[in-house]
Amino acid sequence: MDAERLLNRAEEHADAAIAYELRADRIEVEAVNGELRLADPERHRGAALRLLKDGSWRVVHADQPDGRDPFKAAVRVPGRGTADLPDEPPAATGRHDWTGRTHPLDALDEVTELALDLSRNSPHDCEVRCVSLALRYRILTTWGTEVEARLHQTSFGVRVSDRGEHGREEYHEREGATAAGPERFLERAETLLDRASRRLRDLLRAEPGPDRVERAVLDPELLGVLVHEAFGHATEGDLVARGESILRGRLGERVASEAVTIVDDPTEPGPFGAYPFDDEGVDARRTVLVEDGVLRAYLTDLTTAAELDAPPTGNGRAETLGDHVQVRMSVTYVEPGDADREELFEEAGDGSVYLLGSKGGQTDTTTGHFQFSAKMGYVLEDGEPARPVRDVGLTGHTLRLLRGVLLLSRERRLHAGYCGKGGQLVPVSDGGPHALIEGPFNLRSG
Amino acid sequence: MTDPLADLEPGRALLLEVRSERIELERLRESGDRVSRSETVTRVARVVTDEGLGVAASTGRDGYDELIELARRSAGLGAGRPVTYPDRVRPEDVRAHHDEATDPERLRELLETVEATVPEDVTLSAVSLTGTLRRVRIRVPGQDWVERRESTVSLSVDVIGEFSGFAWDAAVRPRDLDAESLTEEAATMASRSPEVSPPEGRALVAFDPVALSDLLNHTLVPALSGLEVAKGTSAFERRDLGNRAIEAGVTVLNDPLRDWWPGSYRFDDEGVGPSRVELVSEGRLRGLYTDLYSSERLGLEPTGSGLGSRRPEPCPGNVIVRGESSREGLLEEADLLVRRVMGAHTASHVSGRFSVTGLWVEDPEGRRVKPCSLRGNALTDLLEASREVRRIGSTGAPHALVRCRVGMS
Repeated sequence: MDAERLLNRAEEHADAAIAYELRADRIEVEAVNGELRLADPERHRGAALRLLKDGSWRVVHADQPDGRDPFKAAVRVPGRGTADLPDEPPAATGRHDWTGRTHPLDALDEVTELALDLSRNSPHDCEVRCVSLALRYRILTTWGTEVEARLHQTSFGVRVSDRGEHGREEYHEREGATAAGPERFLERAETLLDRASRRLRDLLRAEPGPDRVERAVLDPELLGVLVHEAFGHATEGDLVARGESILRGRLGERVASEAVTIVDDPTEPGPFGAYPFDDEGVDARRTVLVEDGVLRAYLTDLTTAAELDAPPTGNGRAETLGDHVQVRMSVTYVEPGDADREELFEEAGDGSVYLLGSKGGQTDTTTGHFQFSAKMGYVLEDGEPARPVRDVGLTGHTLRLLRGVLLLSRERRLHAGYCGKGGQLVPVSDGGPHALIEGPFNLRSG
Repeated sequence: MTDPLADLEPGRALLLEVRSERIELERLRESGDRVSRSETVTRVARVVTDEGLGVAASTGRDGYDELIELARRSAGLGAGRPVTYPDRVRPEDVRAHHDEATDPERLRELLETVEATVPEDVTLSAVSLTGTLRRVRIRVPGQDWVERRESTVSLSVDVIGEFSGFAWDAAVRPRDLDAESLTEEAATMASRSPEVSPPEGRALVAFDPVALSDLLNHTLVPALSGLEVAKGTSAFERRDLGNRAIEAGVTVLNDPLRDWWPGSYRFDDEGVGPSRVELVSEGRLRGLYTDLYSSERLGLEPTGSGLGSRRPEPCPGNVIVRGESSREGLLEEADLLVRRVMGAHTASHVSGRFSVTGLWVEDPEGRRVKPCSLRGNALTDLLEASREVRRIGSTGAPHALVRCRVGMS
């Protein structure tokens, strides 16, 4: 059933509705130590309807093979709530072409060959993965939205591992992009593997990190993940509305040091978390969350915009057509400062630690406590990263961390990842410059 | 209509169809109820050639003839090591499915129970109930479709008081979820602000079953996967079988044949009947859970653990960890008791090392301890575990004593 027909039927029985049509072609390739584990093509076709009825959102995703009507199932399920839309929900129109040079299905052989070569020739145990997706989707709403996008999205990663003096260690790197087909993997994979292999060699001779340091320098990847997890989630309007955010009621308050400006901006094609419009058909826009240390905005979807009496920011996203829309970040970063990276190392002082990359983390947005693990670190000596250290975890409190930001370097790097919330994963980018932060920090794990 | 498997030899092809029905009810503070319902059908063809194992999947109108052609292309590239599927799929006998899991009325009753149980000193911020019913059909050349059904219903409760509290469980049937106890547990966690600072430095920390299952599911359990061992990304190697695996004299059982536990199934996604396997016995490594690919790589018998519709990977069914100590004795030895941790997914199953934040921590006097970092190694610092086990989802976990380094968060 197409989106127009779904929407026409929904209009009679619901207060508002959003209809979706999606076609996706996807390849997934994985090679391990010269052996090809996956080289799989996939096709997805689907339609879905999201209905607002009796103050409750209902979502029905029905695949087409049976030709079953998803509409009946949607109106049958009971539910009552207070969800609503803003008085005048934005009604975007237009077509967006965010495609790369190559369609994924046309590059399966080339991607496979390179993944095999790289994983075979690595001196370490080596896994190379690439996922490339060509999407075509439309969103129509009962309030006049009619948007369509053709979008390519490619992500790839390498994982190298080996046994060193202290046992087995692994290091991984990942990149991802929108408006890029599998050609991005073909162009960048070797560089990514070289970088991961260099880091692994340092990690294999690394000692456990110091138990505690007073200051740390974070690289853009770790800073980005920290800002995303420890701060960004607390700006999400649904958590703010439910009282599950440490930032509730703090608009206009200082929440970070003056050096810190934090932005969420999905508008430019390129970063992995970018999109032309969100999953409620609202045009993407740039939102300044923190300006010179002061909290300026929360992120919203249409429902939380109505609840919080805030503007819709175009951050309503769902993992699949069958999932509820949630408020999610997109491309979230700290604006760069004006220092050289070397200046940060010097200011940090000998014995401080330069922390690189992220193995993931978690935050309790209600209380602000967080837990992260860096991929590795270097103890600073004479103003330079010197001795490599492993098993560096970072625990702390969101606002203490942001208030402790002393200096930011002048470059900005973004990293691709997947963000989990409420059982759903969506692609995101996060990053920023290098940051010198005043602790103290408990670091060592294991 | 022609049989798409007519030209394919037994052992060299497998067709799969997964029909999944999911219903989700949420009650959110301020915005009320949300309901979602989805139905998906995924069709998969797997074809084995001399070059490899090809896989193609579709959620559209593609028929199996078309998918078999795509899978042949994938196999022609040399994807995957050729495996031999069973000539016949022989389902085991286990109860893993109940229609009530996707009954909106039954789910709503649980939701109302949660709401009615929340004490006045805390606020319910979100309740989420998700029921899923999966019908998996498999066909191999020379045999008609064979079907298995499985259901899961999961409940998560978030409350806010002086602190935040949460609880989660999953079961095959709604009746196996104790909504009252879970709500009380979340409310107890949220009701009091932490009062005292943790002792910094080395300490013996008792992990309750919820905290321990979180930790082990990111360290010990993935390290026992045949695929991780074959890839060299596990703390263990093939030659470690028979050797000491963990410090504590614990036993770890993978049991996908336990009635009404949510990790049970009648056959895996490669058509192999699952078996009950003792993975660790009194601290010694005795087995791994394997699919066809990893079992062949490692020269082990497949355990029927290949799950995943496209390319299955070894997945544990129900994992039951058990020790030999008494819970009371173990708690008496502990400097702290941790009941909820955060960040367990950052632990390493390659080294066993972890660094987590203890969110709900108590000292021996029962006072709430401020959130603190707990760091150690789940394989070498796990000292003893209790005989008594609590089921959380598909994990049966005991209380355990873990040597940790404790620091202020």
